[in-house]
Amino acid sequence: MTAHPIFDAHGLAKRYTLGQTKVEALRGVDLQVRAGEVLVVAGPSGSGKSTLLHLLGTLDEPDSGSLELDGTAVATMNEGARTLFRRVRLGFVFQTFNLLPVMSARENVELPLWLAGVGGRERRARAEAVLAEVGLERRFDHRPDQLSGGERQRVAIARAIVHRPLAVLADEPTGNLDSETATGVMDLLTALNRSGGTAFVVATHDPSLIARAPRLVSLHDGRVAADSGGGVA
Amino acid sequence: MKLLLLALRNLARNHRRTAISLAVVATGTAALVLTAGFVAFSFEGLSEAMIHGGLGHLEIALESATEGRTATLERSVSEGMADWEAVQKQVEALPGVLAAAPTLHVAGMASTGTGKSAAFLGVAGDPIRERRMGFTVRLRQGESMADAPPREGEDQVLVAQGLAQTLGVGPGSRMTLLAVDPEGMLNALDVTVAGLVTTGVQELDTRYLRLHLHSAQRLLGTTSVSNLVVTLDRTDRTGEAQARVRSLLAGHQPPLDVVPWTQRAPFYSQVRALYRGIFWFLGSIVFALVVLATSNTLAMSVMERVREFGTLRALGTSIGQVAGLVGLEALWLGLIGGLLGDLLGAGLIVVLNGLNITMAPPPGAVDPIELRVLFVPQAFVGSVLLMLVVLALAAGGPVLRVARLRIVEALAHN
Amino acid sequence: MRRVSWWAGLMVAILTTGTAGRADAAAAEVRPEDRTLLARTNLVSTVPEQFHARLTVKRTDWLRPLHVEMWRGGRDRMLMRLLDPRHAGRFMLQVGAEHYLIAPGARQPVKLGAGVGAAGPMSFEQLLGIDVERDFDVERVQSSGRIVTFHLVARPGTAAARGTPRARWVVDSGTKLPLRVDVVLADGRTARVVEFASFLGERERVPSRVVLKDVLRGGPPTVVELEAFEPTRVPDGLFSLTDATDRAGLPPVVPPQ
Repeated sequence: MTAHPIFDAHGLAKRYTLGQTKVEALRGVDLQVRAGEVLVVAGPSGSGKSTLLHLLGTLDEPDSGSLELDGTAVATMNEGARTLFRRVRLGFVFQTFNLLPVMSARENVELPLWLAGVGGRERRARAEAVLAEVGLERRFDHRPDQLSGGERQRVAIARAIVHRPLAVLADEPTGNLDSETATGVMDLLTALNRSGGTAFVVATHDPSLIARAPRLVSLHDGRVAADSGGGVA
Repeated sequence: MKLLLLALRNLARNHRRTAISLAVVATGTAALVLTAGFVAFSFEGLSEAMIHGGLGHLEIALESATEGRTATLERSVSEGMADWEAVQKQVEALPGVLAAAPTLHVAGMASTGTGKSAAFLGVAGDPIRERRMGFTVRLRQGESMADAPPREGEDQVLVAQGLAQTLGVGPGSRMTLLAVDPEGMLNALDVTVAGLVTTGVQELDTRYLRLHLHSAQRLLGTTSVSNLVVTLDRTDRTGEAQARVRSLLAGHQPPLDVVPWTQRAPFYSQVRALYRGIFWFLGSIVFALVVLATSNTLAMSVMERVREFGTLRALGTSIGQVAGLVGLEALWLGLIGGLLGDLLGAGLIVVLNGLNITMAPPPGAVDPIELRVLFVPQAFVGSVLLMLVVLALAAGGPVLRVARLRIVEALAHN
Repeated sequence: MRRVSWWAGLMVAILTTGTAGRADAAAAEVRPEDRTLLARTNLVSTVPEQFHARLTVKRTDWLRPLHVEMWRGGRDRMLMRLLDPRHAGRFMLQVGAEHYLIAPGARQPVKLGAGVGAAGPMSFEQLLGIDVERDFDVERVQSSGRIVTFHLVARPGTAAARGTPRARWVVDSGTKLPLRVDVVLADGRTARVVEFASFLGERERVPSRVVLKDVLRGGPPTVVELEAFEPTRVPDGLFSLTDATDRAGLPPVVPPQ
């Protein structure tokens, strides 16, 4: 457990240029996420959910505003420091799963551990343990094209938590899944949060996920419209 | 290690595209290996032909003669190597020396009883030693000259085909040779044509004559020789031998020069330079073709994986690692393609040599040549290394592209 | 009588115009006294027709001088040999317009081209001078005090035409002796200069010292000095192309000390 909020954002703003038009994706967002929280960021398409997650995950830089990650100001981090932070402290889950097709399920899950310099035997053991935790003990050597959509997302989730990050940022994790599978994924996230203490920030417009959110932040037009407050499930 | 294996696995993703790229690299490599082998064969053939055609490996002559003046035509200069027999003995005692044969150069006019005459360039030597040195005389008609020094009135010559035609002579014909002696005085000598020969070079065949050393000395009224031609047991030891002979003769008066065959054969150096130029030209074409073909492949494979690169970056892979991955894929292509090319090249060499193809004589030469391609180890290794360089270059663009990717845009890529 | 001889003279002049026309045209400006001077200074005809001589030929860049023995058997008949045992049995022979080398190694005399070295780098023409009357036409004559220069053009077909297409024959009209001949090429460049530095005596008209300079190729001058000169009857056999008996009977070569 850390004393600082994992994410401490004030006045975050981000602008994009789409052809001739300038789009203000975020117009000053304040947000704090504490250790172990499960937070759902909801809002219609174009409300800035993905942009917010990108900024929180240091995948992009804000035009204005401040962001602290576990007590450190992002503005003071160079590219190398940000890469390192992501490698060790964050995990990502994408709508399109984004697994490496030439690697098996185990190898995909091992990737963050390899990046962190963990040795081969330990890497393997931990990857297999996490895959088992997400219910894929029989799929270690399967390649992504041999797995179903739900299974692929589980592999992605396993990859996101194998290195015990502070937080996992999931952008529309159920977007490409059917409702039954989607529910299963949400259950999984909740279970992982309980067992490992990892914080989850989930951006979605899926009503079933929104309904189960321990904390719900609603975005509208680039601003926080509503925030149900702290929520540890 | 993981990156290396990942790079290799990435190559295997699109079998057809990778196979085509490998084929391009392999073909380019094989082309270089074959060309290098053919060029090496040509050089070897040419150099051995020049050495055993009479140039020998080294020439020992008066320094003043090798400076470009013909010592034999100016009274003010001494008349060639007077003490050549002593020098010959010393040199032949050195290890690696097969023989040191004297030669005397004579130039003048040859005339026949029918009134025909033509200028000649004569080389006189010691037939016994020359045979020992592996100097071959390409006899076309008649017989070789006798080994023993001819008695007065029994001088013989071997006449080159072109000259024989001009003079209208054949084996058994009588001619008179007219030449200027070292004092600038004319002298004449009757000779009998023993046989007709060819030098292998058309131009030279219109002027060339071979005589026994004693006949030439009789004609020129001298006991000196123009130079000593030294042959060694191994051509690649020429530099060493040159140094040894130089130090052996260092104090000799008048000063002697020891010249390697490469310096006496500007033709050889020119041909070598020409072949080298052709080889590098071909190499550049191969280079350009492989770069073009493979950079397209690499660019395409990068385009297809933009989202993947974004994911890797998101997960905490550094720019260097991601760009390095693409670079490694290129290097694998170069290495595997290069090694395949070596195999292909080796196989083709065996096949070509087995076919015993004969090529038309090169310009100026007389005899056709049998095509052979040599195995040149440096070419096998060098071309693989070259392919690695080529592929690294081809990967330049794609690697830069990957390095400059913005993570968010990459993740949004289709 | 005088009228007949006058007509005869005119007829002769007209009839000979064809053959001598060219000479006449070239020599349009040559006065009779110039012609006489030319004839008087023509060494080839004023030197005794038959003689035996010994010469020394030297050059500063030669290790040693050449000693030459010479027999003249008439106009265009010359025999020469070097007084050096190394060259024993070798002769240079001029018969008419042709030059030959006679060498012990060759059974037959070998015919040579024009200008070929008779004694070292010198040709017969250089040694003897040229026959300025017979082989040349006079283009013009220049006088400057006693010095008279004849500008000559070689007549086609002569031996001179091959080696000396044009010449300047410079003489002293007082002593009636030639001073110098410049051998000129067809393009006007001076190829060689032959100076008649001294003569044996006015009556003899035999040059005792001749200096040859090769202007085209440069280098030090060649000096020819007469060591001995004897007008004497020379046997015909010395000049035979087929019979070498007389030559074989010559005394053996002894180099001078």
